[in-house]
Amino acid sequence: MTTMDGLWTHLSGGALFWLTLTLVVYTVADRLSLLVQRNPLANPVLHSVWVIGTILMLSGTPYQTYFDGAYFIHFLLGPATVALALPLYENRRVVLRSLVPIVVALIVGSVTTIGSVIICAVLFDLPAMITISSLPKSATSGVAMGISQSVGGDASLTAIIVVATGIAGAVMATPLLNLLRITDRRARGFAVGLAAHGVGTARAFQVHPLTGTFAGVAMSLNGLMTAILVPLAASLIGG
Amino acid sequence: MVVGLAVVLLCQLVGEIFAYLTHLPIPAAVVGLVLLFGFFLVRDRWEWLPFSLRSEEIDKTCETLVQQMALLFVPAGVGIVQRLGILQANVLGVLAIIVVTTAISITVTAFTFRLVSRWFPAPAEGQE
Repeated sequence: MTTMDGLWTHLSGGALFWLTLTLVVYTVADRLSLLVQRNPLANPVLHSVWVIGTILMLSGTPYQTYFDGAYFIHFLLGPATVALALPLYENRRVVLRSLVPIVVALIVGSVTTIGSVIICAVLFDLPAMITISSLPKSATSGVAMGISQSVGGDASLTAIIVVATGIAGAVMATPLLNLLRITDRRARGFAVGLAAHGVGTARAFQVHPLTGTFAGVAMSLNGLMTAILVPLAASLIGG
Repeated sequence: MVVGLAVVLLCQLVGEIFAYLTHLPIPAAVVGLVLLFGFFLVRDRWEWLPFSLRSEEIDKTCETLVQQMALLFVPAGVGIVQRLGILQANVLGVLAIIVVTTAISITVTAFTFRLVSRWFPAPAEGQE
């Protein structure tokens, strides 16, 4: 038994175990999602998060230990955002033709997102720390965490709300947009990418390459827009 | 893979330097995206570029990163175990922020996009 305890202490302290666990759990979640024809409820991020979270709680592992181990995966968020240049380049003609709706929907969508967070915070009387940390919720994690820090928010709380927003958006997008009878793939993709950043964009690419491209465009533009709007909004509600 | 990753990271690094020096509220990764996009635009025209920079490797690296993007959100998402207390204490408000504002955001953005693209119609390729 002491050998087993020793082995656990040895493994749980290093990156190898947590990196492997993350990849294995995600792979299984992704296969299962494929098995049910990419049903939005089988979102691989959603199921990976609760499975790994449960393992951490049951084994009494501090989150920081896990995060240090899985940091390499987290780090790739930045490069993945840069890599969105490829689908953007490949579809540049379609994107350029839609420039006017892109710009208008970006401004309206971004302002709506931040405004609705503030209204929600007032309605539910949320603590200022949660409100400030939620303002950049539709920007992609890496970008949102940076914005949150710069306006005095809690970056790790922001990361959670951002990922939860991404999962919620990825799960609801298809049924919601069907209900609204939006059939234009560009509009569908752009809305998902703007509201639900990378998780929504990954979902959009599952549906159709054009939807995915517009989601990627919206995600990168909204990263920029959020970085400009959130400091303004934060100074407004700060007094 | 190595060339591809080097080019992507280099774009992000230049973005980081740009953001630091200019103090503009522009995320480094977004600057990197613009730079890489610019690189793709000129790549085919600049025949003097070394072969490794003109190879398909860069495209393949980007493709892999974009395809696997969802996985990259898992470590940050698991952070929820650390903040269960504050989230539970404000569970309704937090749920509203996560679910309701996201639904509003998708709805308003999609309708705006559709409305404006009817005013400024693009050639029909984007339509279903």
